[in-house]
Amino acid sequence: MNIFWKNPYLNYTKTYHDFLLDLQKESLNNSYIQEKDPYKVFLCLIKNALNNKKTILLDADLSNTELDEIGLNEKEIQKLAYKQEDLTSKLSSFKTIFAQLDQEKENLIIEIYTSGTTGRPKKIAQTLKNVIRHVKQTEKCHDNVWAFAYNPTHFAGLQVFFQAFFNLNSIIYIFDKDWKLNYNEIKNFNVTNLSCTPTYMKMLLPYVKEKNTTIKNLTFGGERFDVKIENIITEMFPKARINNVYASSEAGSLLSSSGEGFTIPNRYSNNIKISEENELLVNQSFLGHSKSLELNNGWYYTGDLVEYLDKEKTTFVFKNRKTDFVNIGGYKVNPNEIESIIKKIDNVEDAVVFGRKNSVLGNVIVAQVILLVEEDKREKKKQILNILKENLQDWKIPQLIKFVNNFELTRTGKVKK
Amino acid sequence: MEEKIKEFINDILADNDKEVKNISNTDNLRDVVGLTSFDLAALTVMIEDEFDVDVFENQMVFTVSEITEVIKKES
Repeated sequence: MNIFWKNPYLNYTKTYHDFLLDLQKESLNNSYIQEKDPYKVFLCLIKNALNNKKTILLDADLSNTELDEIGLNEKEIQKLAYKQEDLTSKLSSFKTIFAQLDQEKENLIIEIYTSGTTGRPKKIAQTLKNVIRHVKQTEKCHDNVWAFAYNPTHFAGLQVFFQAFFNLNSIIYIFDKDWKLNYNEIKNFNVTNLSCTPTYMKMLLPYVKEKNTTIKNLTFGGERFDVKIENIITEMFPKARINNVYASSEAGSLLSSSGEGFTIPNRYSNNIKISEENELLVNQSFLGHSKSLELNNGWYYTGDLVEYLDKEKTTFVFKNRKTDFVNIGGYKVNPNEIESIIKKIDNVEDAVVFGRKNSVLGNVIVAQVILLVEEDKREKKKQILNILKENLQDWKIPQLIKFVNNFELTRTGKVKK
Repeated sequence: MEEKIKEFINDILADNDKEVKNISNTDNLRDVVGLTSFDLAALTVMIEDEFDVDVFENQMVFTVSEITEVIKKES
């Protein structure tokens, strides 16, 4: 049977047969999934689905502080543990597994956490039906080989997984920081499909020394496509069809385009629209369920602002976000969450955290800090960084910490960000 | 200019509890020095504040020498 999953970082390979055996095994499962090994994330996810249990995905690197924020601790997590009986007879083949998932797709729930506006992550529940809305199962997909370049517990990661899984495609995991290794694996494994953020591609490109002719589909999502890298991508991946996707945790994958400009397809005209203030709105019918999602007459305001490219107002590009969120290489970071931690540190009088445009990551996080009394800046910076690292995931740590005497103010008296 | 850039790089390494290195002008910043995408982003901002040039904006740069070339060309 085909290779299912290769992880060059943990140095193992699983075939679809291995995966089937692992699914059938008796085990102690849990609706909450917090696993360092992405293979286990998907194993547990499919186990939960086959046991008709919901799944709640937690990032492997969430700190205790972050778990506290969402009201979770070991005791709460254990409440959703359950024992799986031997399912050998029930799950004899992937055909039966796919049939069962298809039959239950409207009832199976997957919950993920996404950045909340108040600093507290919000939980979004999606049905499996919604998650796999754009998954294609066709003859043409059978020979695809996928490179997995997203966080497995985030929406984009789920979509890549299901697209590959439902076609029994091989997947190679390359969501880690050794870019040379990542590209070597893409090359040696003859990857045909790569879905990643534009930032991921920017980090990979220095290692693409010769033209790659095996990749036939390149999909970018999570942040605005950087047109500056388009020429080099088309030169180095001459056989690849380039696709840009606009998606959100709240609504899943919504729009796709072959360039920077997006158009709302006619079939979605009742589900997606642009407000008079040029904000993209999504209808309730396309949303997952969350108590913290605020709706206005059935529409969710995404906070993503667009600019039209034509007079007829059909094609648009995404400009920036209305909210304070900062997109760092595809991760949405809430500066308030970082700010509130820095403000609690000894001798910090005040702090402001904001995004600043950057050619490497799209944006970087900058923290400006005012101290109550002078002290050694290097030591203080180290202390702030250590405290942030203890409390936050890596991608939320500011790239720049500056000590200032006053925050710069705008003409309206707001702190200039 | 090279020394200033190396100072920035070592500040970034120190902030991340990584070993401060004697960096040569031709060391590959990703493979040899071990800078991550987050580190490179921080370096870009520090260089931009000091020299008013975004070195990664229009090209891929790999070494301190290449960074100084871009700064000389664009400033």
